[in-house]
Amino acid sequence: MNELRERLDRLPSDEREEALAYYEEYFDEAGVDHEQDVIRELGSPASVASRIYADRAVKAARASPHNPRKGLSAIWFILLAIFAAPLALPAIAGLIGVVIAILATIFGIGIAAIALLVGGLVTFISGFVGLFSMPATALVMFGAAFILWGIGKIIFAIMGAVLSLMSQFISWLFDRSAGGYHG
Amino acid sequence: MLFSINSGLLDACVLAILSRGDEYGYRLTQEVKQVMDISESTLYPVLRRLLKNGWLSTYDEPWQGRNRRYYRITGEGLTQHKLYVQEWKEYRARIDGIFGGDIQT
Repeated sequence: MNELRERLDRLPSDEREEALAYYEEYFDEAGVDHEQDVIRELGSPASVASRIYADRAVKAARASPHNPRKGLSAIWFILLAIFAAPLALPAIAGLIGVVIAILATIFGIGIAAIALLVGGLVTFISGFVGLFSMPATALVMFGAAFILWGIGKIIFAIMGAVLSLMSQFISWLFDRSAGGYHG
Repeated sequence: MLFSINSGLLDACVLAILSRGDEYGYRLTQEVKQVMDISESTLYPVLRRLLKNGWLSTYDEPWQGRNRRYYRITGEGLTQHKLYVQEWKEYRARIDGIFGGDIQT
């Protein structure tokens, strides 16, 4: 339990205490007789911590199309989940490189999307400024602004979906390795 | 087990069990384990999510010198439970239909 507490130090302290209280109570209920079974099934504190981070990543990723900060949150939790994982998990070692590469790409695309949104805004403002002197040009600017804005939003939506999928995939990985749902 | 458990089904089962009475984490897990092959840690995120959605509430009761946290279904939770039951009936009917040959393709 102490190890679990340490590994969960990246969570806000109230959420960490909640998780610890849950498992503390769980072990108490299991009693001396079943304690070993529970320990065996849970795997190591590392795998329990990983699963908790992975679950947060999934939650954040689901919220991310509407809220870019949640997307960053999801990325952070995915990384935490990976680094909290017991090194014994076979698939993880190989996948870490791939996952980090994908995350970096998503981050880069995210920056590009923000740039598009900002670009859209700037174009819109330019259009507005030119409205009375050069109405035709202004209309073209407005159109371009909306297109840029639209593309930016679509990219955010796609990113959210990709993050969501990745988080669920990692979550699933930990489930399989730590003896989660079977079948 | 051939068919995988998705998290929606897990939510539905937890709500169903709690619709019949309050439970604490350990017993809840044992009950779900009778029906599905889940791990000891599976329900923790599920319960957190259901709590966050406002479908469950918790209260503590002392037991043998320590604390037991009970989960109770809320009014919204009951509504959601009924929705799940309805969804399941329709889903089951469709699958039975294909297996039983009622639905011709």
